[in-house]
Amino acid sequence: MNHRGTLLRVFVGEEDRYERRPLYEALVDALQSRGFSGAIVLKGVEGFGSSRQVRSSRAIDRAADLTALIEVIDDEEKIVAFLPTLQGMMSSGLITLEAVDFRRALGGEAR
Amino acid sequence: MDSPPGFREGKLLRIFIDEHDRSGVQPLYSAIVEMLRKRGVAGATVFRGIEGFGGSGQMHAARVFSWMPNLPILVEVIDDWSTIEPLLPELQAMIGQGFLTIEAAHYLRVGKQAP
Repeated sequence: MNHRGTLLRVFVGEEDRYERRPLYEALVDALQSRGFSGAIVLKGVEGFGSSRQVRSSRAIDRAADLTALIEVIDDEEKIVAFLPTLQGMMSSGLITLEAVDFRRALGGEAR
Repeated sequence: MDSPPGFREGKLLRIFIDEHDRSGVQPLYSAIVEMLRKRGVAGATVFRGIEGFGGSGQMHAARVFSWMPNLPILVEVIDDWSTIEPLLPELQAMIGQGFLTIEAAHYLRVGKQAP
């Protein structure tokens, strides 16, 4: 059966820290400890955001702070309940929410 | 769904092109990012896929032996529809065989630089 759910996407800097560790890592841990069943972190190769600087992974500026994107899909209430914690952990970045239909893989509930 | 407090109703624009696509001497994805920045869009992010097909009809995969595999590139922009809509004609002219999608998204910018 399809569930009506919410896709949460969080765009932060790869170098952003939370309590002296990478923010994206701290966010994944926070999601896991709250019982979210999965999350994925994707790495951007170029872009610009709150700092309005173009970030790029091209050789000329390897040390650039690239975008890390964290994606989570779950029930809307669970995602919305997590937002205050999420906002408290971020000093800058972008949060997006989209309605999605999702279906867990067979056996997914048992994992 | 309704926008939670502080969130705005916007659009997610996704542009799918190839890594080897060019705009003059520049990679097309860089030209797109530069154009978006000049036009005052608040942010854009480029992702490189690790495999895929489409557009040119060629298989794109890092595992296909090549010194410079032509991988899929995704450029994403989240903003108000009033900001995104005027960009579409120029983007459509730039992307050639690529394609773009538009979806509804609620968004919130965090941080003191936020508008």
